[in-house]
Amino acid sequence: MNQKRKFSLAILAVLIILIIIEALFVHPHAYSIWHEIHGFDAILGFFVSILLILVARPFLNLFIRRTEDYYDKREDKNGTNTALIKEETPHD
Amino acid sequence: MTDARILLHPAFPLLLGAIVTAALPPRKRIYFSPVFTFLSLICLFAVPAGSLMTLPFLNGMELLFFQSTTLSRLMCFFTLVVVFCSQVYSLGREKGREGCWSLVYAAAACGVLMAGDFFTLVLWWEAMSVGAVFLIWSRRDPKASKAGFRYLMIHFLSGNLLLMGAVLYASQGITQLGPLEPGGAAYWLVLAGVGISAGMIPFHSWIPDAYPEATIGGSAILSGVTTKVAAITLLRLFSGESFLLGMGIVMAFWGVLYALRENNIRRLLSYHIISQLGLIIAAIGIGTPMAKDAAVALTIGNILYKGLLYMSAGSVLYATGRQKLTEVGNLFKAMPITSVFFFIGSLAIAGVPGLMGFAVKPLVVSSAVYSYQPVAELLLYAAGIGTFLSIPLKLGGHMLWGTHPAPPILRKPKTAMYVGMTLLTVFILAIGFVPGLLYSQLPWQEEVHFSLYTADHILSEVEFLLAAWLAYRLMNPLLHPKDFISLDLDWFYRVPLPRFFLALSRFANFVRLSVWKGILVLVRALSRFVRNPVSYFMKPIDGGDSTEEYCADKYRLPVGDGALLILMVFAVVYFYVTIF
Repeated sequence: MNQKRKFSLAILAVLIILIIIEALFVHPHAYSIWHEIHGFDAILGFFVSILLILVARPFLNLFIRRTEDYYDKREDKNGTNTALIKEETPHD
Repeated sequence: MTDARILLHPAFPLLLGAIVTAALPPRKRIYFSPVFTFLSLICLFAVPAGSLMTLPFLNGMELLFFQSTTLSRLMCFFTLVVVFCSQVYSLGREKGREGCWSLVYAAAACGVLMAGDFFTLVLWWEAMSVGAVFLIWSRRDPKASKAGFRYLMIHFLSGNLLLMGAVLYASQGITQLGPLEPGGAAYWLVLAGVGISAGMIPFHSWIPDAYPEATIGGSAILSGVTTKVAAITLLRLFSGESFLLGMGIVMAFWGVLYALRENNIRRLLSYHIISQLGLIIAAIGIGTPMAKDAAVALTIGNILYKGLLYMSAGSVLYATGRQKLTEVGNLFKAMPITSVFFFIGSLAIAGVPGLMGFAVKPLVVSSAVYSYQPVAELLLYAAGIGTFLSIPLKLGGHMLWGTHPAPPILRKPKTAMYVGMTLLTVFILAIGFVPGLLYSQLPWQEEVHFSLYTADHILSEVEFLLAAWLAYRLMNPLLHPKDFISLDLDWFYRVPLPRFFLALSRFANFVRLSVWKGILVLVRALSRFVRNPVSYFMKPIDGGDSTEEYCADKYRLPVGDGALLILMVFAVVYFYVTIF
């Protein structure tokens, strides 16, 4: 098992321990229905993260991904490209 | 009704400073700017509550020029703090104009916050736009010029919508700022005007467009002022408007999704501003005192830790000359101090306990809970995950660690940068560990009680973050930085709209040229007639050019024609005289 896998498993282990601690010792606020489930935040966090990443990258790539010079090319065609220097001047 | 106390208006020392620094040589300006900001901060503590300056207006109405409330003093304080820290951050590396325009900008922001009526608001609002545009333009670069121009157009539109709404309200007799009655053209005009500045979709593109193009100190100031002042204005006018709840949720996700895609570091942070504004606006939409306090607290938190993030990203840019994630990596070893500041800022924004974010972000979610909006609560909570994914994990992970080798350090960051960042960090840590410092100053705090450092809150937050971290590690390959851009709604006014205007102007040119050609043809014909009308009836005797000027010698009739004419006239006259 390489380093990365080990680290991930370590995180998982800590997480499970925390959930167990929560289940045993901590009395939840239970202000909404789902907080009754122990470790709900973890489950929600996990799946929502995956969903967000999937939507942000692969899904939206289909629609809005363009190359870096997309606007520059169009402005050149229009004749409105006033950024005559293509590379940026040293930033400050 | 005015007295000497109006001199305590925080804008006053700042404007004075702007005039003074404008008279100084460019390189010296920035050394004096923080002095005036500090002066303004001190004055702020002396400002009493209440209406301190009014101006007479039409029909017996008054303009409340200087209206000091708990909220306005609180927000002015933190605005001035971030401006001060940014000016300190800019010491020694400044190129001239930042020192002066940052003061103008800050003065206008305080003016907006202290305004008690619509017209004062519009006045300072426009001043803020001007200050910000010149602040962007203080970076002498063609890209900055264009971005500044787009910023100008958007914000003057926003100011105009506000002005329209203000005039409509004045015609109904309302000039004072306060919670507005929903409905009516004026209501929505003002909402649109303020909303544009607050980053509401579809008019949010100016944020990722303009903020990365300013200087590194300029971005730190810009990020903490315009949008936050607009959000507070939304709070004062539209709290409880359900449209804002929906819009806020959309913004929260929009910002995070784009942030996860973005390659340019400061653009990523800018999209994230939209996400945080979404949370703030959603809280404003909820409208309970707890939600309003949450909105204020989150705004303050953002001013501080977003400023810190921009400053550390700026230090990276200053030191390496690079601002894309595809070009940096492993900076933790190469720039350890800056990395620590970045780390603190990113953990703060994600809501890690101990730092300020934990003291403010969950408030928004809680306020949704306590007003029995479970859907909103869930969505806001989910958007919060996006924050953790995009900044500490994606941005921090690829910038401070990652697979890209460390870029060469071209310049070491100046000490002043570290000082500026430290000052902000002090606030973040202080409020993070003793949230009561902030809570006791919140406007509605008598009605609300927050208790966040309880075991179950901390545990659930930590679990949440760990689980998101796991998911991130799993999905890591998908989030690898790639050098591409993501189209946003500004596409509509950057591609089809300019083409449309170009076509219009080409058509107008065509019409102009056609008319001109027609006139020329007409003039030529007319000039021939005027020069030599006889040429239409006769040809010249010696066969010359009929377009020449008339010359009597060339157009002579035979002599007999003249003699015949005289004879005919004589005959007519003779017969006339003899008959009568």
